[in-house]
Amino acid sequence: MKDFKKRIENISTPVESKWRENAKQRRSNKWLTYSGEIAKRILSVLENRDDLNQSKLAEALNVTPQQISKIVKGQENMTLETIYKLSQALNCELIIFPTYKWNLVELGSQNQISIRSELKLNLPFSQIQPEPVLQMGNFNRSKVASPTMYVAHLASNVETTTVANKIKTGS
Amino acid sequence: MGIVPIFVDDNTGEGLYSFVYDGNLEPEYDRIMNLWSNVQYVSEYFLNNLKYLKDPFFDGQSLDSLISLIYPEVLELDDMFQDYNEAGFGQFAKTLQQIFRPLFDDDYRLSIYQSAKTSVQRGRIKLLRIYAIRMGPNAYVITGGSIKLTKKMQDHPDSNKELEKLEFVRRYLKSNNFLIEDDLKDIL
Repeated sequence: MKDFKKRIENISTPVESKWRENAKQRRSNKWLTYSGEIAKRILSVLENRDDLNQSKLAEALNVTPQQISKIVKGQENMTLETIYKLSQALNCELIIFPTYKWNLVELGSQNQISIRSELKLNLPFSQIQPEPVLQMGNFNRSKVASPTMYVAHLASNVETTTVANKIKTGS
Repeated sequence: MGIVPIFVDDNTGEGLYSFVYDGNLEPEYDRIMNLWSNVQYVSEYFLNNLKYLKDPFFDGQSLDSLISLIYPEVLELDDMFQDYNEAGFGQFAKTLQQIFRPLFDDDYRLSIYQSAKTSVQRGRIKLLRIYAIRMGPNAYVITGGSIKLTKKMQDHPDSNKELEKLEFVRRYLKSNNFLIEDDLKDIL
């Protein structure tokens, strides 16, 4: 086409597109997906609560309404402290931590212990059933209240370093 | 009111443009992408349109999962245009008419001032639509966009409004004598 550029100039307007910067920000800040998921949960709680709105939430967190507005748009990089405070104010968990299920303890040669763990995804802690624990040596199951205590108990009895290393490598 | 470049070839002027409507401070393309990136806007949009979500098109998806489908589509649209932009406007590069297709599915011919649309390439449910007017094989001006809630655009007030916007921009280009008879053979 002849003079295409010139004709474009005739109908152009001085407003500038920020698409390039906005797209770059969206593409590089992958955490925005997490922020959006948290925002969605906050909005769904507010939708069902007559006693709470964005202004009251701002008061409860001692932040500005503008900050809450940014949070519910899914565009705020929140600290763990903010997420915790939001959870408290909403009386609702906003994020759930995956729980390790310690499911097998193996005794190898020279009393080396290995622990196989399995990550249970998308299950709230309340749904994780306690696993049967293998009896080993003088291990007393009744003393163990959590997987962490269980490991601590094992470590105190045999081959501490091996256990620690196995936990580090996640094997 | 007028058009602004999104990304264009400095030499020829071909490329992607966005329309800016009177009273708007940002180009239409920026406006819709920012809206679709706003979880509060998207959530409220679906909540205000619950009756449309019963359509089999939505495959019984929950409100929660539909809201979560939008942002990944925004990122994919960003990627699609960014990839095109980075590929440049060389002789062997893709043209924009490989990204945009005629608005109406039974419209098999490309024509001047033709209404066009694009969406993400993958995914079982594609919810976002971007609308544009074809100014040439490698020149389109974005007129708007919508979250697709009905099969026919006329069946929802927002997508119906997008049809009006397409017509408005088409008339604007014509009234400004953007294309002349001699261009036709180059465009088709």
